[in-house]
Parts: sequence; structure tokens; C-alpha cells
Amino acid sequence: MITAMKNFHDLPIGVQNRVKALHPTDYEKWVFKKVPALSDKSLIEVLNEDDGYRKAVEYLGKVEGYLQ
Amino acid sequence: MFSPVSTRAGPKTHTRVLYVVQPFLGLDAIRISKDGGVWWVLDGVDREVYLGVASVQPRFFGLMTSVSDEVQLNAAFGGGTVSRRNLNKLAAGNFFGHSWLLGQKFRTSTASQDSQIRNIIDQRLNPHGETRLLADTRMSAEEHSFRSNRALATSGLLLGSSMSGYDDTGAQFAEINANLYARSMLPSVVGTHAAQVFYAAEAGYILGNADSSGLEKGLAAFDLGLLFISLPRTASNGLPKGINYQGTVYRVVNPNYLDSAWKAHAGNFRGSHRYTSVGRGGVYAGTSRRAVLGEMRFYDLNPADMAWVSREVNVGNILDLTNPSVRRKLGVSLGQLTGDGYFMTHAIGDFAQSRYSGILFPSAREAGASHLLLFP
Repeated sequence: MITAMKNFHDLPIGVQNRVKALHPTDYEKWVFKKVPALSDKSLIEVLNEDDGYRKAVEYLGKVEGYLQ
Repeated sequence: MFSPVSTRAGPKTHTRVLYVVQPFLGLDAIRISKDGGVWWVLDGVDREVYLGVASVQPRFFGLMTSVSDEVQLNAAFGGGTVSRRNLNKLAAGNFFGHSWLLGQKFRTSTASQDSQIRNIIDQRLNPHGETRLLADTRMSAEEHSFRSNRALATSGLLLGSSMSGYDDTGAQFAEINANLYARSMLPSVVGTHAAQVFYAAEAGYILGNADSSGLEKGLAAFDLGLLFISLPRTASNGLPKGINYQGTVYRVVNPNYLDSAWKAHAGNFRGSHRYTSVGRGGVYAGTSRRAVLGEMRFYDLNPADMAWVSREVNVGNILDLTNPSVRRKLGVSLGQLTGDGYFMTHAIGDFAQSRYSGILFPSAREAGASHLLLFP
């Protein structure tokens, strides 16, 4: 059985690192924030959806590319 | 023999014909220039008009036109029509299949007729093996159009043809694919404008129709054996003219990447961005801070965590998609450029990359703002 991710520390470690890099000041709170680019869902909501990991990684990749 | 006749060659006769058909075609106006050129105006876009007479000839491929929110596929010699909402991809079969559909007529979209149409496509229309893909109605109409044009463009045979279609909202989406994607894939064959393809038809081997919104009642004309082709009036080389962009542009970057802020780096190539698909790099910048802030809001980034950079640029040959007339010339709407999907914008980016230094495009996040993409 897959356990739902409830907070930042439940996220895959790779995702944690990427979120920290993008939101160094408030990453623990940020994962609960609704994001327009995620269809107004939070990252943690998305990650708990079917196919959520792919969507989350796609979002992170897009943002990272934009900010490089 | 198919014998296209430019109205420039004999304006009087053909002009009379055009005036006769004008009410049937729903044109805004027909204009005649002093040098005898004739064009019509449809949806605010000037379109050159060509008129020819089609006759039975095996190498004369089909011609497609669209009807409001559905698409009609017309066999060239009249009588053959497949009509069903969003079946624009069938045109590929028509181009390759020439008169196979002669005498066939389908309307509506019941499951049995869908199946019947598919069978005809699979069995008869396409010896080149492309329509099986194109006939798969499970894909979105836009994806169909994209794929079908890509198939056509890569077939090595044609074209610059018109794959006309409308999505479910009534927005036209296909012309850009036909005219731009085909050109980007086969610049040496397709040339720079479908008009050239049409002229090549005089040699007897290619026919292109770049009009995907006109000829709304063109079926009758085809049935009578008359062929109309209308092309957007463009610059002589068929491309919107690039502009010179001068001004300050802005970016926000991760502070760790300040050194590469104005370079198309590996991370940029890896990502799929609005006008650059994976593998196509480019530097995106806002032409105002407001434009950049709009993007940051969308991705929910904290400006305080980022570094702002700006620079003065003065660069020529920029495709200006903020200009409505350029968008009209390319057959693309503002909504198509600022929507969530990247199909259309990637096609434009592919097309523009080898022809322009960059793209000035409207912001999808901040109305009235714009961004500048500079190709590497």
C-alpha cells in the first residue's frame, strides 16, 4: 500500500532538493501552496495523485529551465 | 489537364467569374489592382485569388476545403465528399489518393459511418501508409492536424497544402501547420509559400491550397469543375518581415546561474518551453518587469529568492507575434499563442528558428505584456 505524502519530508528526496533550491526560504510551507501552473493545486496534492510524480517533475523541470 | 490560370494573366474573364461566385463564397470584398491582380478579402485578410479549371487527370490530386465547424474533403473532380467534424486529417488521403473518393459522400458522424470512412481510408485512399495514423480520431483534432501535416511534409512529395480545420470552439488551428510546418520541414521543396507550390502545379505535379477558411461553399464550385485557390497575401518571399527590436529586457534567474543568464544552456535545451520544444534552445526574457512578474506568479516563485538581470538589446529580424497583422498572416490567433497547449507555438518556433533571430510574443500570463525569445 502506498502511503500518502503529508509534508515536505515525505517527498522523494530528489524532489525535496529541487524544491529547496527553488524556494530556499519557505520550502516546507510552499509545498502546500496552490500554484497556478499546477492547475491551482499544491505540489503535495499533485504528488499524491495518480501520475503525480511525473507532473511534479515536469513542473520543476520547467521552472528550473526558466530560471537558469 | 489541370490548367490553373492566374487572374493576373487574364483579369477580365476571371474577374467576371469571381463576381458571380462572390455571394456563394461569402467574401467581404473582391479587389482588383491596377496591374490586373485580383484578390478577395475574407475575415479581414487579403487573399490572392487564383482560378483554374480542373479536369480528370490522374496526377491531379484532391483539394480540401473547410465548412464552418466541420471539414470537407473534396475529391478534385466534384461529387466526392467526405464531411465530418474534425476529419481534416483525411485530406492527406485525398492528396495522395486523388479520385478515390469520387462519387462517395458521407455526412454526419455516426459510429457506423466513422467506421465506413476509416475503412475507405485504410483500404483505398492511402497507399503511402500515412492515413492510418491520420485517421485515428482518438487524438485531439489539433494533434491530428499537426501529425498529418508532419506526415505530408516528410513524405517528400508535396506541398504547402491546406489542412484546414477548426477545433471544437470554432477556432481555426490548422493553417499554421500546413503552411509553416511543411515549410520548415521541406524548405527546398515547398519553398516559402504555398503560392509557389501552386505555380509548380503548372508543371503538372503539385497542387496546393492554402486557404483554410475561405471557400465555405466551395463544394459547389468544385462540383462544377471550377477550382479556386486563395492564398493570404504575404511578402514576396512568403514570410512576415522581421522587425528590429531595441530596448531593455529582463529575466529572473537562480542566483547560482547568474553567469549563464543570457545563454541558451543545457537546462534550457532539456526543457519544453512555449516556443522551443525539447532540444530547441533559446533565451526567454520579458520586455518589462511586469511580464516577468506574471510568469513568476504563474509558477509561484518568490522574487526575493531570485536574482533580477536586465540588458539592452538591439536585434534585427525578430518575428513579431504581438502584431495582429503578423498573426493573421500566419493564420494563428492570440488565443492559440497564449493557451496552455504548446502544439501551435512549438510549430511556430520550429518554423521561426531557421528564419528569424527570435520571436517577440504576447505574454500568456500578463495581458498586454510581451516576451522576447532569442534563438541561440
